[in-house]
Amino acid sequence: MTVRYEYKSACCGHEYIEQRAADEPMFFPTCNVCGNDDYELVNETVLSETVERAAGPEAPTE
Amino acid sequence: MESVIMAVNYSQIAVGANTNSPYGLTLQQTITSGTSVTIPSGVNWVYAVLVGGGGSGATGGGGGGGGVTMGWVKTTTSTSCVIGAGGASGGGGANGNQGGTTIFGGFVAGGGGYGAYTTVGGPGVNGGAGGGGGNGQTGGNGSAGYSGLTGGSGAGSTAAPVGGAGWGAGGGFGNTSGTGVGGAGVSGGGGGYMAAAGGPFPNGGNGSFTGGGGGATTSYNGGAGGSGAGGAGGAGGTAIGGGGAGMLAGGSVGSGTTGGAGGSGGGGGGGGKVASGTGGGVGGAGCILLYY
Repeated sequence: MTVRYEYKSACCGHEYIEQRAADEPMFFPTCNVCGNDDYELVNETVLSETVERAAGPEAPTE
Repeated sequence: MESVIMAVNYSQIAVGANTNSPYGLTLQQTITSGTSVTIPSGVNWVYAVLVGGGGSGATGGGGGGGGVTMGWVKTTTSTSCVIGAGGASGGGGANGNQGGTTIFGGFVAGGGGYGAYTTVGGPGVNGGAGGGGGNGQTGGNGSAGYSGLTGGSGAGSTAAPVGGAGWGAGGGFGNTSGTGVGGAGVSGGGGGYMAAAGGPFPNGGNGSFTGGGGGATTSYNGGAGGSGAGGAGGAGGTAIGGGGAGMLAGGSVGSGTTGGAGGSGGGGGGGGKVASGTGGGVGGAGCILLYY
């Protein structure tokens, strides 16, 4: 499931977005502007029920 | 002639706390899934860093780190994207799989090459690094980057077992002596399988963005995964390689006889134990980072 997570930092109010699979951890939890506080979740939107990623070509077999 | 002097307020030029940010820009979005990206109205250009999926490790060689491409992208409020999947496990007694390609705004970042079981390592594509070679086999060639900077060659002999440096580095030689370390680059190459006893070990190549997976060995410690922007690679375990680090996270240590998984953001998977015919670790999925 692909989810768009919208965050805001308490320290300087920076708004930051991570669009990732629901079971993935947050990649950058600390404010990207001043680094003083962690982000707080303010909104999340489910974009699709499946994770959409393009697989590479199959490797040749022996 | 009258001259005009413009005042510039330098205090308005902020530097992001995220040390990977391009100077003066701030990381605003991290994308690892989905088919489109929502850009705020009024933002017409963004600086994008694209990373392809890492190659997965084989029963033997480690996978190459995912390719990296970066540049300014003209956007709309809904801009399409493709996120490259990490290479899936090829299963026991088999090669790994190549990572998928990440696409955004006309830029392309290809996947890392697969680690090999008894064949030549898989080549990287569109900036991706080559996978490590199987026993007695050449490492995969790394790929040139979007800018045209060349990739590294896969190592092809016991006398020169280390993968070549390059944008996408070459994979290490699969060896019975010497050490088939993956080459270093923007994306690090996978370590080759190593059959000789003792160290040093067939580590994955370090990448400034994505690291290669470590190669497997017979019974002693396998190669460590290469480092990347997301941290350190996973340590090698008994006869298995550690996962290479990706753009977003470090690589994993393997479990049991399975090689370590590559870190999120294009890390290459480590090689699995050959004596037990176990598959390698999966590659880390690709990503897109947007700065504006």
